[in-house]
Amino acid sequence: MIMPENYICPRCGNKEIKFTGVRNGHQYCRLCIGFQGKEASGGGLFHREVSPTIDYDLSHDQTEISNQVCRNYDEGINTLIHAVCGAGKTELVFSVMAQALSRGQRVGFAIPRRDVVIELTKRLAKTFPCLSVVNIYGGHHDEIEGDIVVLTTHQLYRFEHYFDLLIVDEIDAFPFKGNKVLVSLFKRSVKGHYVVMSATPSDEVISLFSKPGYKMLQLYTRYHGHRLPEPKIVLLPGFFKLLFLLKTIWDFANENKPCFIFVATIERCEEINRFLKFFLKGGNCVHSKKTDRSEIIEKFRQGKYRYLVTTAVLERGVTIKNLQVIIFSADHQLYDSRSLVQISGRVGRKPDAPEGEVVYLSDRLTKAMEQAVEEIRFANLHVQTML
Amino acid sequence: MHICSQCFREFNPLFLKTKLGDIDVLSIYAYDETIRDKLYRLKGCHDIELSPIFLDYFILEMTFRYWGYVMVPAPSWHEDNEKREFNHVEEIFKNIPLKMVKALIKTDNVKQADLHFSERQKIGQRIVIMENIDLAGKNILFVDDVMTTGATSKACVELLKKTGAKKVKILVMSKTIDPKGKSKSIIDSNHDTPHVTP
Repeated sequence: MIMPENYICPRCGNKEIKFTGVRNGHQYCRLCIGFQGKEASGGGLFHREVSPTIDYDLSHDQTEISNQVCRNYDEGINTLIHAVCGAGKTELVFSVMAQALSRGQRVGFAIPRRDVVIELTKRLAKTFPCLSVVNIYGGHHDEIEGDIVVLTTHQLYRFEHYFDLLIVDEIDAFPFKGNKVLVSLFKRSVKGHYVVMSATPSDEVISLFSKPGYKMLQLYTRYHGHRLPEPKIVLLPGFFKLLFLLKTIWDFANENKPCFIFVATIERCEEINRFLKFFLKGGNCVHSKKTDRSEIIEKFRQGKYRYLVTTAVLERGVTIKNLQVIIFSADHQLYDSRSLVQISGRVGRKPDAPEGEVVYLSDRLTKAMEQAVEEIRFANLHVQTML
Repeated sequence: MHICSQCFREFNPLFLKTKLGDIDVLSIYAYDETIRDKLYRLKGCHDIELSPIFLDYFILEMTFRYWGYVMVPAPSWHEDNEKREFNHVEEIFKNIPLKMVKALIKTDNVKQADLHFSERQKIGQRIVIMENIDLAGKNILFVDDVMTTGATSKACVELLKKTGAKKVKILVMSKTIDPKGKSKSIIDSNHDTPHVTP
């Protein structure tokens, strides 16, 4: 079969012959073939007055950035918001969303993770009570059109040239990061302009947003104005790590502080949980293969567990009061500086408990660990100069 | 297209031998998550290039095991095939160098997967055998992609036996297996009092 040399997929822009197939004499793209389902038709929207209702005030820095985002959107500039973990990124885009909505434009909010989609839908429904907020994720797509569409980045394939304003949060998170198909589906779905947000943007993203027509806004302070907790690095060999872990958790349990222990792999997660259970009752483990994940997290929130052993599933989007974090084997190759910063950002997110401890427990010091600590110190330094 | 040995590690070939009445059934895989995902991609997303990967490593074995047999694929609704632009059962098994005869036709568009156990047994009313096909005195191998209760296979095999076939055997690519280890099929349950699957 002679295949045409210049096949380009109309959906995802795939040009490589090795990712195409032939069916009944027609060439088809195999890269985006998994994305199949109902697509949006684009019904009419009407103008109305919309204003977000938030029962708290934005900080000075937040207001400034929020206004800047609105100005950028008016001028047709795509924006990257680079804000530290716990800075209150979501609130920053409420006013630009209201601005677009009151002009009768289509607004979408995409996030790579589905747990976060569900959480955010509730929050947006509270913020814009008179509007319909629709959420779409794998296995939930009965209704795909509404005033505000909250969706996982995978579901963007349903929209072609659709959104006047598309907000993408956590662009550095798996599975969006480095996935060419998702990036092209994202670009395909935007009609107007977009706002992307991240706590740890990669160098490519930063260089893209330094070009004309793009703008990067930085926010180094958390919304409660306190500094990011600086990680403590503890270097111990082999078995001593387990002893140290046990002692630390024991201390936290005595002080009534909830604690996350991050481990790299699912097997290790189960192992550590079994080990800790032997000495200290009242813990559990969470990983992607656990089906009752949300229930365990809910129980942890209520304080029924004293510690939780987890893999990277809880790396983002979790806010628990007075949380302490231990990263076990922080020298594992899975952890780069970005994920270490993200994990450290779980601590001290509530204004009534802004402090907390982050421990990197490891055999040796890696570059990623050094970089992560440096990044956090840099952000904290900025807080000092601004005060 | 071939599957690389690294990716093939995801697959879990079992070569499960069972009996359906007095007919030998060989299922190559259990219907697990891997098979379900790949089959969805093939049938639901119409990715025809995936069809050879299931039997890729077993073609020689199957050829020797069923030498002298004629393959009869399970029927599927013709409109589905037109929409999909291919018949997935034929595509999966076509690399086995045995003669394939499309002897069975489905006359109604009802999905077995949507039905309960007792309703599934009525499949025989919806399948007919093509006229002017001579299978008398031949060894027939009935092939299908997934076997759940065995109702389709049983109905098809009964039709095939009426043609005067010498011997009939069944080869399925995957078979659903109960987590308790007991298989949920009509093989070991009483035909008159079928239990309804939850």
